[in-house]
Amino acid sequence: MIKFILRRLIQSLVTIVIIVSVVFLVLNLSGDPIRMIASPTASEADLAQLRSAYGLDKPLAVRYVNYLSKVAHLEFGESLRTQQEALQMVLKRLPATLVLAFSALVLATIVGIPIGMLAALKKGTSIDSTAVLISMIGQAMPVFWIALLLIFLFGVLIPILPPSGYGTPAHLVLPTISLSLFLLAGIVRVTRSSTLEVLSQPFVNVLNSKGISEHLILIKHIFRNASIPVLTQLSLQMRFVIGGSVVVESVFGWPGIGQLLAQSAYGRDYPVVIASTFFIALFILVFSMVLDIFYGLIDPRVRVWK
Amino acid sequence: MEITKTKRREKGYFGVLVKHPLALIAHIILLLAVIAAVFANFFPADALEQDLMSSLLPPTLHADSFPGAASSFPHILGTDSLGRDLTARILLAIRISLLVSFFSVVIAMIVGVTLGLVSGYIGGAVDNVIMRIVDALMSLPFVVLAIAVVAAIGPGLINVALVLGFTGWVTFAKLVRGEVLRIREYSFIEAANSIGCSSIRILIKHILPQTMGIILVNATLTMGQMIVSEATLSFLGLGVPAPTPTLGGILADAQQTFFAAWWIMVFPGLILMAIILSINIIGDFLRDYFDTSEAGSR
Repeated sequence: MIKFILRRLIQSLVTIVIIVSVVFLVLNLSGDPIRMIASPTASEADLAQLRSAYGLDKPLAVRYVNYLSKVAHLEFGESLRTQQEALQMVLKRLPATLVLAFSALVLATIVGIPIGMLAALKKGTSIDSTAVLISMIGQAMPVFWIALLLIFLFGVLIPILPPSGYGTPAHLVLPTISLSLFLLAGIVRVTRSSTLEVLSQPFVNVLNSKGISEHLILIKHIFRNASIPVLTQLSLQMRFVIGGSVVVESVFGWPGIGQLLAQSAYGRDYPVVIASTFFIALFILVFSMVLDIFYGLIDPRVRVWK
Repeated sequence: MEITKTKRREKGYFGVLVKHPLALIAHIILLLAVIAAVFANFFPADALEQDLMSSLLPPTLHADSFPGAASSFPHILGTDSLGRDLTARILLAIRISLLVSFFSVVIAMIVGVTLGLVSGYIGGAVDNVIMRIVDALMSLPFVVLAIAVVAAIGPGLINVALVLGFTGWVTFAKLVRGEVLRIREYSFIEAANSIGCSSIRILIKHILPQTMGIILVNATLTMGQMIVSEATLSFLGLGVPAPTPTLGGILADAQQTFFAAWWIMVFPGLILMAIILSINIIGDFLRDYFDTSEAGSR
């Protein structure tokens, strides 16, 4: 197991280096970043001075190596807008994003799996077709539109929940629902199809004919076997949840990394853009690694370590 | 939706389509969207003309009656805070949305299919490098990647299409590579090799046509994703800038007039949802039609 974790760690490191390199390449291909910071009236001498201050007068390869070593030491530099450390800005906002992402994840799972299983057990009925239709619509609704509709419904029309802000559990409700809907739709689809597959296997018939209670079969045998594809789906969809949280955080004024990324991209605040992207990638990699370990615990057949 | 091979051969695409009402409706909705996009500028009201006298008018079937009204055509879907006709703006926004997503899919397809063919056929170190890049980009949310690139090159119509295209190629590369690995084992490839066909000829003439189904399915599903991404970027102010109307941009404006005007928020979202839903359904239909279960595993 140690060997497996080590291998995954090295893979993740390679991934991070590639992502960081792609971001570096893109930022440097896009012309002279100094022109963005300097005032339009700055003279050539001023520009040259600024360039050397930011180390931009050196060749690309030298800058790339410098940049990599800085990122490796988690030195992202100061924000071009607020002059704060980019790293501190991102770390300060990390908890808010984690809270939002995990509550969306939990909500989508505890609502999605029962609906998906119910749809599979009642295949061909109106319950099933309703569940399928709703999951299709859920996957076609853009996250920000869901968020707007929810604010309109529960913040304006029937004002029972705060339309934006951060702090109390009530503030968490609308952002969590908006963020979880896409994931929930996916989970319903996957749970339904994997449950159907398990149901078609002969061992379910055997259990039934042995007289084991329906509930026991459902929980102990069907659920356990059907949950593997659901876990895969969770790991695949996590990046969409984080992607969606950029939007949800912006709409609800939720002070997380996603909102920071959108704001800093709007203001072309490169150090903050790099730092936020770095931590989002890191978070997703850690999450998928933990899920991979979790797999083996649930199902010895797919255990990736010996 | 089970579509057998014999059925496909006997009835052709439309023969199969008419037997699947949901897919048929999806095709019709997408066709309507394309028609709306093409003929958007023939709509009698102007999408950009401001008329503060008609600001925030609710949907109506009656034309403005006060003297000096800018338009003699009724505001079927109402007006926005600057008195611009919402119907005209949405029609133009559909055009922008379809244009941007179409071109970004074409870019993603060209880049991804080329790299996938190369990666799968050459193998070795080239394959390894390309696939590590694919894995790395796939672990990042698409929107986050696009936002980071927009931060670098700035917003704008062409930039958004480029950004989405050059960040969306990875699924194509991964799928095509897998197909190449499968197909190159067939004996007809060996035969082509032994009669002296060049690698490029084998790739383009013998392998590429076999992967067309999977490419088409993935292109369809990617198109839906591109439409969402363009709308998201525009909603965040990182996409196509004003005054060009976009579905995301109109929805961002709708936030300002929440209390007064529900129609600005409802209609663009409904249209967006209808288009994406149709594209997803068409993608599923194509997947069954070409019988390619691996495609579109996003």
